[in-house]
Amino acid sequence: MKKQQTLLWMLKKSSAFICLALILLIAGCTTTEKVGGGKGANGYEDLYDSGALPERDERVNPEGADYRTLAAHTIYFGTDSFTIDSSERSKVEKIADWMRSNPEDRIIIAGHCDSRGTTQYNLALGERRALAIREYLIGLGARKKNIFTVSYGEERPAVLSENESAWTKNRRAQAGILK
Amino acid sequence: MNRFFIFIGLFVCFFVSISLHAAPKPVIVIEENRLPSIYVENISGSDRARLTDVLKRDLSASGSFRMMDAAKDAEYRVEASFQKNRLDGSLLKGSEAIFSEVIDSNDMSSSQAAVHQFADHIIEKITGRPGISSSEITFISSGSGSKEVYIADIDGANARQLSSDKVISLGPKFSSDGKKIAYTSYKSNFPDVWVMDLTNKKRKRVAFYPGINCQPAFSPDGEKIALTLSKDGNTELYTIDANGGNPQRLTRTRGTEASPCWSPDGTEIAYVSDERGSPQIYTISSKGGEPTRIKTASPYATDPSWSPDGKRVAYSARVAGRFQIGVTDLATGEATLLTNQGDSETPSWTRNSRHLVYARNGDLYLLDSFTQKSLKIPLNLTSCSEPHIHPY
Repeated sequence: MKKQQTLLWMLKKSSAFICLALILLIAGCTTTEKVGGGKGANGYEDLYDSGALPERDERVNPEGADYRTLAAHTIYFGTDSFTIDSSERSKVEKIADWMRSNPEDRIIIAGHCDSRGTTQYNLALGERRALAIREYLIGLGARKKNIFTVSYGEERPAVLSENESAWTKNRRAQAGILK
Repeated sequence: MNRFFIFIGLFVCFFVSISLHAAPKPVIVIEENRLPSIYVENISGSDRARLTDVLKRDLSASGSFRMMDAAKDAEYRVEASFQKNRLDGSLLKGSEAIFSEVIDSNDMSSSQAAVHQFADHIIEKITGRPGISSSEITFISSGSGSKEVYIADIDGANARQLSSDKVISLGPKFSSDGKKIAYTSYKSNFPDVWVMDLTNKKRKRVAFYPGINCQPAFSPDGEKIALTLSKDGNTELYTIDANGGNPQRLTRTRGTEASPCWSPDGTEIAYVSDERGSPQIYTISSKGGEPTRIKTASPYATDPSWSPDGKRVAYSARVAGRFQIGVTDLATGEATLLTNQGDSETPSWTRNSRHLVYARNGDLYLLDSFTQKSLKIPLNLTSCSEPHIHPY
């Protein structure tokens, strides 16, 4: 009898344990819905989010922008890169200075790539370059809603040749003043 | 004695180094003389020379036959006549008719459409695989002076310009039913996603958020479009409803995301991300979630295309500074190169999961992934790029 009782007791205890383990396992396995939000693969939350891009209106026209005034501050990038080299940072600072002096003016940053990558990735990389500049400007105090971006990928080279010098000049982001 | 061992050692090293230095090898080795032999009788009736040529090229391009010059040398024979918009064709083996059919070309775009359909039936009957002769391609060409969207038959015939915005158009892709093409256009001076309805020649702008809207891909069920947007401050993957609206963000990284491509069952999306440095191919659930990287043949891989049988993903792979078509078997992770002439890019699978179309230096090519042979598609248009095929 005692043996049976012990066995029964053990069975009850272990089944409770098993149930608890199962519950914990299942709870651990369910993942939260990731549509539209939640953590990404690298665990980043919106630490560096410089915010949504401002809505376009009819006056936001990259084709009609004045790219000359700030042409001296065109930022150049390394191959396949969207990071702003320390040697290029002063140019972004100059653009930020200009924006501080012209607080009501809006600018558009046009990102470009050289021709050596593939078309689609280059279109996205050009935009990523423009966004990197925008992020940096916002960090320097520029107004989020006054900075727009556009990318031309490899479609609008500054220099048409296929050599190292041309490629260097084509990997760029240019700031245009919107009229 | 020492010298002998040194010699053996060197010999072994030599052998090992030879076998390790493997050049890209064919995915499947096909013995040319094991292919079924076929003889095509000249088609009788109207336009016979041209239609015979179309039929022969369709069968030859399939890579599944040995084309013979005489009936007596061939296992299979094809006979057909074309009269009054009717193709009457038979496939024979010896004295036996394997099948006969009548195809009415009145409902078709052209007389050769009937021939393409007949060729596909022959291919399916003998090989058991779908034929691709009736497929269409959409692509970009700057032949008119600006990048515009075009459509053509997969053999290069019947090329038509579909857009004439005189701005930059990019990346056209068919919907599964072939009735729509989604593409990117700078018509508004920003890259926006447009959908062209081929049945009524109308088009609609479906994504024009702040920043860039580009690289649209219809889901297999036609309900959604996956695309690249930067509206929230970074270039990421989203899905929207096929008619526009309801953006759902799928990725969230510090890097650049681009070029979504749906799996054939619509549950996953393959795409490009450089979050780990250079651009690589990842897959993610079409509802969002954790990305998984696919092993590729190069540290720089872009433009993924998922085979219709779900088994392989092809892509542009940068090798020694030039681009080649790479392919990865998803089950084994084995990655191989299918071309050795650069710059070969933007592969797009055909419905037989064997052939692909890709762009090389302004021309489009049909690539047989089994034999690694490329056949130039005679389009007579300059600067062609970004092909996409229907049906898939």
